[in-house]
Amino acid sequence: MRRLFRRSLSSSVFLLVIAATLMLNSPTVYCRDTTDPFEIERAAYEAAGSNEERLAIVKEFLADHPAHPRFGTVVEVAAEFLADEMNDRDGAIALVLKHIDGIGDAETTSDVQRLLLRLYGHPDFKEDLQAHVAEIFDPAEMSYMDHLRVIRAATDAEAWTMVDAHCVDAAPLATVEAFRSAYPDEGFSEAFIAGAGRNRQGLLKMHLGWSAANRGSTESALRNFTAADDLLRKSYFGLPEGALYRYWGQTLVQSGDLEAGFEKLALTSIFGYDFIAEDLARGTFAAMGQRPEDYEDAIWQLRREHGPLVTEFATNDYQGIERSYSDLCGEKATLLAFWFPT
Amino acid sequence: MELPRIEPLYQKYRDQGFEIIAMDSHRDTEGARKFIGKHDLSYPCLENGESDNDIAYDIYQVQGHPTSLLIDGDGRILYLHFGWQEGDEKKLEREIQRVLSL
Repeated sequence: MRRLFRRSLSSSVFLLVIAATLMLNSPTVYCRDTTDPFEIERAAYEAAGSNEERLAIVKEFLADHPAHPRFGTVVEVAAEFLADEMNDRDGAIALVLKHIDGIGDAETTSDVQRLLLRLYGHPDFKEDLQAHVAEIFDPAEMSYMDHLRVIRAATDAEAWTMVDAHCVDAAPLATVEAFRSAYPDEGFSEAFIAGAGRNRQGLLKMHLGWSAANRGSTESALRNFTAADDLLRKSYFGLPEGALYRYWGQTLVQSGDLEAGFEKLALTSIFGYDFIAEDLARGTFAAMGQRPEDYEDAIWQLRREHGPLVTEFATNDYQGIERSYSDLCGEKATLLAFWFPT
Repeated sequence: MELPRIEPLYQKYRDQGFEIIAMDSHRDTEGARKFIGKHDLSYPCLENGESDNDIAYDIYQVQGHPTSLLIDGDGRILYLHFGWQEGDEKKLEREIQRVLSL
């Protein structure tokens, strides 16, 4: 999800998110202590005119206030900023490694360790990833989510043996019973628990399939993708959760079935919140011998074929009057915009 | 935030059968009222429903904000726009024009 959100945020907006994150983590958010170095640095941060300037302010804070209660949070946010907004993965890793031992509380240390797991998710850091996983996890104590984080990082690192091993280890935790016992007090309905258990299995099948595809086992990959499609929760648009259609589409393209691959890639780029898939769909369209200027028409055709019908709803406006979709919709077109004030 | 940026599109195309419905997914009533007033939004703005009428998350399963769905006159959702970047007004306008057959 973070990756999806990232696309929507320009650097300046992302910085506001960082500022908001710092505020959310600060108990003094609504009553700033102007003598607190964190507040002083934050004010300077908010007033800074460039990413470089903001980064320098954050680094200065880390150098000057290693015992500050917000130290770990600033390490985490600064590393994410470096990696995601300044595209400096090396710098982010270096920053985390420099400061992680100085983070006082266990919870923030754990958060930063998980961030480091994600940062190591690149082929250049395959060995670092394996060492880090060995360092921070006791295999006997790993939860399903721990395995899934490792699987995602290993997928990004193209560490396929690692992906397969963790999928196998996670399988006993990817059951309805395991999900129920992991969340005994949440009050989830039986239907939700059943769906969540199946979804866990589906995600493992998806990752096993993508691992198989990258090791050249197309048949195994397609078998796993089909199984995953049956298990994964479907969105309002009927698409499975996760990157299944992107992986499936790429595998079909690699196996020579360009049309089927294009449809999977195009659908997830249209309705799947998957913006990585759009370039892949365009590339496949070109490989099919189609003209780039015809791409939008082809996409529009898929939209008409696969776009779901709107669900009628009714809720109040700000005068307390109940309004329904059909009351308000346009004769020819309606934009239903979900937002929240920030 | 994209809401003030789509107001010009509303003004431009509303006479051609185009409407906008904005929904505050988080039910921040006071915040939403202030925002709507500050930016003088003229299209209908609604609150998300509560509990079993959670329109944003339970019905449409919105995965992030802002998310906008462009729907044709037959009620078919033809376009999902997620996030907001500089220049997205033009991209959205092209899609609106296509649905309006302009």
